[in-house]
Amino acid sequence: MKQIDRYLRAIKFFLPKPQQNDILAEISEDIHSQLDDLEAERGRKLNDAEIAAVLKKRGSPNLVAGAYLPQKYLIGPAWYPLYCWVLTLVILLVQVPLFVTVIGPMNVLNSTAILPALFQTLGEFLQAALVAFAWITGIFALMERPDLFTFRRGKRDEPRTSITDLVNALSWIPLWIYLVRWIPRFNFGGVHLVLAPIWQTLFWPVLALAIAAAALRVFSFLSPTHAKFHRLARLAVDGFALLAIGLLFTTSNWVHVAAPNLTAATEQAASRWGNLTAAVFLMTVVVMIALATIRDWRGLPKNIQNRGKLPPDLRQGTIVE
Amino acid sequence: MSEQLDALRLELRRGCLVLAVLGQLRSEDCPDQYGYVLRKALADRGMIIDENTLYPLLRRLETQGLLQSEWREEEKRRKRFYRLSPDGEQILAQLIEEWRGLNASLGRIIAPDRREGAL
Repeated sequence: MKQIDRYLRAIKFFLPKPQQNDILAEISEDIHSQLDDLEAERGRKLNDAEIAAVLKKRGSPNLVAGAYLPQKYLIGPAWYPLYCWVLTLVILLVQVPLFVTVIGPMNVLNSTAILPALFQTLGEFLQAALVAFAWITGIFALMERPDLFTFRRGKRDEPRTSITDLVNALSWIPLWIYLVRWIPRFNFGGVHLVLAPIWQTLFWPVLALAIAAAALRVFSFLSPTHAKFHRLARLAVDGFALLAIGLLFTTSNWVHVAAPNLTAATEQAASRWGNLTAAVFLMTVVVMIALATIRDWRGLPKNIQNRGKLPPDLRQGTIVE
Repeated sequence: MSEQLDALRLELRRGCLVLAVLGQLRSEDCPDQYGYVLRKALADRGMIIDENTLYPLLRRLETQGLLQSEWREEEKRRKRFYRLSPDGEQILAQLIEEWRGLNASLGRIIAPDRREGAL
């Protein structure tokens, strides 16, 4: 019977403490009943191999214990598509272009041999991708825990503001700080990126706009009413954001590459790459804000019509106070 | 193909397990049963259910208030006996109605004469 004790101890390890003894007593009873039946059927005591076979048939201890535990996911089906989207966005659409257009060329320009520079870039990229993967996975794993979101009103999968909008709005704050305050501090092997003064001039106004936009999204996410107010406020924030980008477009020299170890021609070439990347980035932001503005503008008449009403998905008994 | 059939069969049976367990515990000749006997009784009636499925299911039904349980000694061993709670009785009656409705609908849908008619 030592086998059964060992088996039960192994199951115990995986069970929640408050229910351990109760569950084990029941499993133990079931095993002994089964063994009794087999012994009666065969007219003799079972040997160790036969007992082992019975236990093996029941399944591994973690499998047996797992049937008593609530089904949990690190990232469940509700969040998984968004998780994949954010991973793709960060790694393929942000990190890959950044390494291909900025960091890779910097490493190549700063190195005497191309191959080691490419390997260095690949190593740095893999490191950055791994860090991004770990952070994003960690954040989504936290979001998977519903007890952290009990303050939410309404169903999680029917938010007034989508999770995508929320993550998108919140991501602009660290991105802006990273771009304007952190990038100039980086030393890519003796190569510095010097941002034009306009970035520093606009740092605080744009940061304030990003915080306002994020706060509006959070507010809209938590409180599904006041849709008209949200849209108007977002339109105002987007308007100011377009104005700020317009001010950024008063210059075309957004970034200068300073590399004392390189020739002036190489520095100029690198600066051209940097400015091209900045132009693409700014144009992308303009398109994103313009699309959001159009969406909000087109939705405004509907909000005026439904003023004071709850959104349809929250009208019938889905609000959890 | 066989794996696919197994998965579909499992899915089909899973929905019936609650009804089978509650129904078995309603039996007037044996209104409270412990897990092993319940499993054997279900198997004797053609509803084979794995122990790793039955016991967690019994706990879940008890948590939901459909079953009541108590530890009792029988044949020198402590066993946990389950019986239907008053709520369980009510729910079972409603589930049986639901099952009959579904059964009748499915019967009409998959009846052989319907297929012949369609051809």
